[in-house]
Order: sequence, then structure tokens, then C-alpha cells
Amino acid sequence: MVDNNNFSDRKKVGLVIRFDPTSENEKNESKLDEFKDLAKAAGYIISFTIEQTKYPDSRYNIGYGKAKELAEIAFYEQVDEIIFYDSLSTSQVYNLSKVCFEAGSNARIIDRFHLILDIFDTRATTHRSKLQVELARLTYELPGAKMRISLSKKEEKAGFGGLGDYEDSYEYDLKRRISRIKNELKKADIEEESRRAYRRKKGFQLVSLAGYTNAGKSTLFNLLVDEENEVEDMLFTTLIPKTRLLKIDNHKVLITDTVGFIEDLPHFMVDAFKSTLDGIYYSDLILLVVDFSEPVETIYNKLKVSHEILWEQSASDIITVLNKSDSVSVRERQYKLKKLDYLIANPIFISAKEEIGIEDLKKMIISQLPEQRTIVVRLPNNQYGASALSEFYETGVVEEVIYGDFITFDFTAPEYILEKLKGTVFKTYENSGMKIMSEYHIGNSKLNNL
Amino acid sequence: MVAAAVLIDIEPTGIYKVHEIRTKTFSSDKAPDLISVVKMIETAAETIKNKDAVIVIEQGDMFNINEQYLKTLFFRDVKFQESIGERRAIEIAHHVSLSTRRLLIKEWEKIERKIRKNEKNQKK
Repeated sequence: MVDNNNFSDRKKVGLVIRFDPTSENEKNESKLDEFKDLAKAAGYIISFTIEQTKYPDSRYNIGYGKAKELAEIAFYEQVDEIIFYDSLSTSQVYNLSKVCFEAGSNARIIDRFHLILDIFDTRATTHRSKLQVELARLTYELPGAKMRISLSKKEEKAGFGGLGDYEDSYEYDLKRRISRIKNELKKADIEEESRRAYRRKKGFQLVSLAGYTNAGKSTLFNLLVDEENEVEDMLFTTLIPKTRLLKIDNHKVLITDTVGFIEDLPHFMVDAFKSTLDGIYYSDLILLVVDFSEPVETIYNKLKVSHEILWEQSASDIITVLNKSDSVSVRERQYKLKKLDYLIANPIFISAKEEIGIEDLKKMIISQLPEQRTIVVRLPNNQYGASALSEFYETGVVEEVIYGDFITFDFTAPEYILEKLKGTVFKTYENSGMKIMSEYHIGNSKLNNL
Repeated sequence: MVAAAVLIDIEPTGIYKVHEIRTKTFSSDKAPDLISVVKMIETAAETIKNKDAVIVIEQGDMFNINEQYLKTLFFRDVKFQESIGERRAIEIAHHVSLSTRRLLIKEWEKIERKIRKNEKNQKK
């Protein structure tokens, strides 16, 4: 964990962002703000920020004049790292490092993806998340590996143009490490998948908290499950998904807090964290948390990114949880809702910090989840009945158990679980006198006596 | 080439109702440029009864130009896909156009085979 109070250990960095001449100002501002937040989340001290509006330069990303200016400032400010918003090619890193070196600065040149990886690196505590970060880093390094070696050995090797034959053992080494990590992650994914299948079999319904980073997912999660997990006004506070049981009326719901989304996340990174995101994709219901106190344009951009990421694989229902709405006036709420209605599905206003609207949210979760059915079951009061009862306990909610000549109880579970039970448990114990006495849907007063 | 125009009522996360599906075929010796893609889309959209509906297009189909430039190219209201519902609508249009194209190619191959057969018979 990064200790933000310890100034002596923190790196001094300079941020460089390039905007396209055709881009919109508001979008650029939010990009810059997010970039600064990312650097702060990594625990860096921002010394300076350089902006340039220009189409990308193939040699330096920014213009040559700006690169020289950057090198001088970097030397003057004695920064440890210079972080670019855009993804940099190996030759761009080499050229920029050369310009900086000539100006007397030894700053390391990295881009935003390295920065995100650095943040993930400091937060990754489990073996699996460490592997995921390592995989993302190696995948990102691989395409530039050949070039990096060529450039570093430029002076040593002979050959046309001074580049000579390149050293490829480094690239093979990277590839070997990538395939080893992928294999290890595959094993972890199988475990995760079987855990998910087991939970479904046991009658749990899966709900995921998704949304842009720093939307307040963890605060809402803590409130729903009554826990004290780490919550901070910082990007990527949660990196490892957490799953807890949430009981709403008769529903057994497993709620998962996940890593936040971010704009322009490259595909290799999404792939590396795929197993983490799978938790969202395979859930019965997604709570898409949005910080509603932000300006409309920012909310629009974040919702767009969230929809794009969810579109890739998810087919679950979505509730759009409009968090932090206590600080927004009713008029403003209506205005924002009207402007963004085509991106907001099943909206609900809440404030996780002030604990407003949580009960309504719980009701909404229940109404969106697959329908639960309650049946009254009669079992013979013997060893067969007892073992059948334990199976019912495992797969759903068992209530009002009466022991007499027979064991009679109410059993509530989703429709598909009941159908499955009818095919398995009921058939096994049919001859021992097991019977469904009546069944009714939750919220439906009509009883169907069988 | 086949362009499909689909008139759909959408929700943020899905499709509410599909009202109309129309296809339009085009042929050219060269690969289409931006202007010909715009013409194709406008012609296909003209076949739909509702002329006020906003045209939703995939950015990749428009050579990844930005949205402001896109709006200057069309007479009608246009936008790029954003919500899941809009993406699903485009997916339907893609399925329709692709399957129509495949059907046309299949039919065309049948006709070609018949023509060749007739030519052979005539030679005999």
C-alpha cells in the first residue's frame, strides 16, 4: 500500500499530455484531471504538467521543441519520472530519454499504461493479482523487446546502419514467462469458475458492483454488507474482488465489489484482468455505480466507457445506481437524467456516504433478480427425510420446519433451482413419501395447492 | 455490398421493439471511400418510413472519423453508438446485411452455374 504521507519515499514526476487539435476542451480537461488523479493514486508528487495541442509526432510524440523544453524543465525540477498520457513506442522512449540525457536529466520516461501498472503493482496483494499485473506488464513490453535490445546494443554491434543483429533471447524469455503465467492463471480461473458454479448450485444469486473508478463502489459495498473495507478518494482503491453474502428478505444474494473501469484501457490489460472482470460478466445483475455529482459531460464519458466494457461480454440486467446524488438538486437531477436517459437503465438515486436510498436499492435488486418460488415440502421423519432436508438447506432458504410424523417446511429458491431439484432430490426420495404440498410465488398471495 | 437499415426502439441496455428492416444493395469496382459509404448509408436510411429517426453508425464503418466531422457529412441526425442498446441495434443491422450478402452471393453462384451449364449444352 502506498503511504501518501511519507514524502521522502515518494517519486517526483512530470506529466505530459498531448491533445488532438480537433478534440473538445471539456473532454481534454477531464482527461488531464484523471491523469493527475492516477499519478496521485500511485503516490507520486507532481512537479509540473506540460500540455500540447498537436497531432502526434512519430519521433517524440510531442513536438521536438516541446521535447527540448520538457528536458530542461525535468533537469531543473530534478524529477525521477516523466509520464506521458499517450502510449509511447520504444523508439519514442529512446528519443525522449536521449533528449533528456543531453539536457542533464536522468528521468525515466514512461506512459500512462506503465503508471496504471505501477498502481496495480503496489495494490496487488494476492498471488493471482500479482500474476495478472506481471502478465499485463510483460504483454505490454513484448512488442518493443526487439527494438529495445537493438537500441541498447546500438554502439556495441556492427552491421548496416549500426543496428547489427539483435539479441532475441530477451524476447524469448518474455514469451516463456508470459506462457508460464497464462498457464498458472488458467488454473486459477478454473478454480474461480467452479466456485461460481458451486455458488449458483447452492441457490445464491450473484450481484456485481461495476462502474468507473472512484464512483463509490466500495463505500456502497461496505454499507450493503455492513463491513469496513478500505475506502479512499483515490483511483483503483479496490483491485482484488471481494464477495460477501447479502440477505434481502428471503433472497440469498452474493454481492461482489470489483475493480473500476477506466477510459482507453488497452486490450492487453483488459485481457490480463479478464478473470477479475468475469465476476461482473457472469453475474445475474449488475449494479452500475455512477458518481452523479459530476458534470453531465463527465458522467456521459464514464457511462459510455462502462457501456462499452459491459457490452463486450455481459448480458446481465443493469441497475444504474446514481451515487452521491444528495449533493445534487432535484432540478439538476432531472436535467442530467433527461440528458443521459439513453445511457441510464433502471436509475435509482442514492448516497452511500449519507446512507440515503439504500432500502429502495435493495427492493430494486430483488425486483430485478430472477423470480424466487416458495414451496411447502413434506418429508418422512426418518433418516431419508433428514438427509433430503440437509440438501434443501444447502440449495435454498428453509424456514418454519415442523417435526412431527412428517418434517414439514417452507423452501424458497429461484425457479431454475426448484426445477433442478424436482429432477434430482424429489425423484430420489419419491418412494419414501416426500411430497410438495403447495407452492406460491413471493409477493403472490394465491396458493396453488397440489 | 449490402447496407441494412433497421428501425428500432431502444432502451439503454437492450432493444424494445424492431419496427422495420430494409436492405439496399450496391456494387462497385473499387473499395468504397468515405463519401460513398455516406451515400450508401443515406440511401439505405431513406428506405425506412420514419424519416425523423436518428441514424446510429459504428465508428469503424466510418473510417474512425470523429463525431463532429461525421455530423457535417449527413443531411440527417447521425451519431456513433454509445449505449449497450445502440450497440445491440447495430449488431442486428450487421447480421442482416451480412446474411443478405451471403444469400445474394449464393443465389448469384447458382445463376452462374446455370448459365455455364446452358453454355455447355449449347456448345454440344
